[in-house]
Amino acid sequence: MKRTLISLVVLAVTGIALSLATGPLGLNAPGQVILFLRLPRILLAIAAGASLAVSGCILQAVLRNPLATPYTLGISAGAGVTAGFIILSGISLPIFLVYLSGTAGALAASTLTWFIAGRSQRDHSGLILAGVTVNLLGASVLLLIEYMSPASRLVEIIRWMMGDLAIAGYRRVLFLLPFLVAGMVPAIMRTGTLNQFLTATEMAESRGVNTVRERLLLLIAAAVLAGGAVGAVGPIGFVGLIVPHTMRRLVGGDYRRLLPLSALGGAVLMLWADIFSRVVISPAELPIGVILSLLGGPFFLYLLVKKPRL
Amino acid sequence: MSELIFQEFAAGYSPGVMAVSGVSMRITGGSVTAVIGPNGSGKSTLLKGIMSFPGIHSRGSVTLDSSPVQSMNRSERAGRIAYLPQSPPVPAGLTAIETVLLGRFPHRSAWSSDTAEDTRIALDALDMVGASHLADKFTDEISGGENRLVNLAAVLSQKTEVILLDEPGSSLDYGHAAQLWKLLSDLADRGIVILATTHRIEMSGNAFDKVLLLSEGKALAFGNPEDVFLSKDLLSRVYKTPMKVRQSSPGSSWIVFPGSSE
Repeated sequence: MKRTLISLVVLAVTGIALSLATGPLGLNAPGQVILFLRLPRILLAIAAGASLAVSGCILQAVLRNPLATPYTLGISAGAGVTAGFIILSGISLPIFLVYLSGTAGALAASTLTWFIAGRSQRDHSGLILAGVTVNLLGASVLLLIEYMSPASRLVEIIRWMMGDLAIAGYRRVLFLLPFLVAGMVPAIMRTGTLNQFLTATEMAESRGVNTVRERLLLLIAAAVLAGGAVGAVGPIGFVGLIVPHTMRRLVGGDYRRLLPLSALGGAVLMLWADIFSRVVISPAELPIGVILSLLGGPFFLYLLVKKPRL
Repeated sequence: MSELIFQEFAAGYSPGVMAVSGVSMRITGGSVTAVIGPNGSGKSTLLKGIMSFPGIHSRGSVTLDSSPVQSMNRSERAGRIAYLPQSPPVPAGLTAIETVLLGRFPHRSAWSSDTAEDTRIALDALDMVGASHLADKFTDEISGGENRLVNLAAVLSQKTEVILLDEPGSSLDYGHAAQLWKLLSDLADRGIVILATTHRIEMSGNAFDKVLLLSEGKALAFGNPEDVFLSKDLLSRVYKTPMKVRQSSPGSSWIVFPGSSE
């Protein structure tokens, strides 16, 4: 546990240093580049990575499914549809509202998942099936939007779906902050409760956990975290899957350790993925979503084959 | 000594339809009470009804030392009544001792860490069920029966006056089953109220002090084991098969021959 924590802190610090130093500095104002391009980008990577990892971490316990990710609730589909729709319509919204629409779509999709699952008493399998349904629904609507889009807009939509950390200034970081706080605080206050969700619902209930209320609260926290992150950096997959599983192997399944370390792990993964995205085909940038998907696909397969610990 | 009193208690999954009804009995600490009956007779629902789980409706009353159980809030109830479900999923990623420590949840805040006292109680509980050697094993690396013991230890570590157990002996081998019922008797001797459902009368030796017989959702008989088991044709009628139930001498283990007539 200590070794993992120290390694993560070292990786985070070196990641930050390297990220600050990577790329051309521009001759006129290197200070400006670092202050208004690199630093906000680093903060955004940390905040989004931690949000997505903790979101996945929560969902794996509440849905009691090792393959649950923030997207199990239909979040990426919701964000994709709203963002796709806005890009297609060609309305020129302030950038802030574009992010907000991604988040709104993500939250709307998870709410829809919640209500569809209502028929099955919202137990874990009911929620997962509802989430799959909402994702399929969203994917087909997005496909329709893509079909109807002129080529120029189509490129924009696809590019948005690949995720993007390239920012100037702190607006997106500030945008993500309230979501980060609103999701992270209740989650950290409930790490013991999350442990109770690992066993039978009735056992949790018999130990004093209001399972109906707590499940809802935790799902909201997970949706808010992922929704905020998706709005700020696009629907980047797999952070919520890779990080909690890796951490579980390293520090065990007790959420009082797992959740904070997953937050740190998510930040580290995102930082380093971002560095790679900038150097692999330098001077061009590979979208961070591409890197994470290349990493996440095989990892998902590994989990399927290897029967992971929850 | 604690005392659990049922008056015309009934429980079910919808307000109109009670899956089990007519339960009136008084059980006290110091005794093990078994709930028996065919599949679907309402044994599990009875325990869930006592716990007032979400989605379960109940009528009548259960009182624990004159406090109505149904109006206790969750944390008050968790401090006084523990419950072991039929087949709880293995809390994967946790070790046995961490799983047992989950039972200490009612006694601390929702995120605090385990105290030395919690760990001592958990280790004691593992020792009581004879599973100390499993403490640091991951629960997904041990057998189903061993997980059963670990979950039982978790329930013990909750330190309650009442323990409700749904089929605690299922998936245990002869040795562990005998050990389980012996343990439940010992706990009862310490004043804890033990109420356990079971399908296997013969696996419990003679651990029962009282028996509640359910049939098709109705409480049919409550009393000493010999009164229920030896009552002419009662079990045969309830289980719809000829049943021979014997005790080689008073106080010795019960022997059951299903399918054979008297």
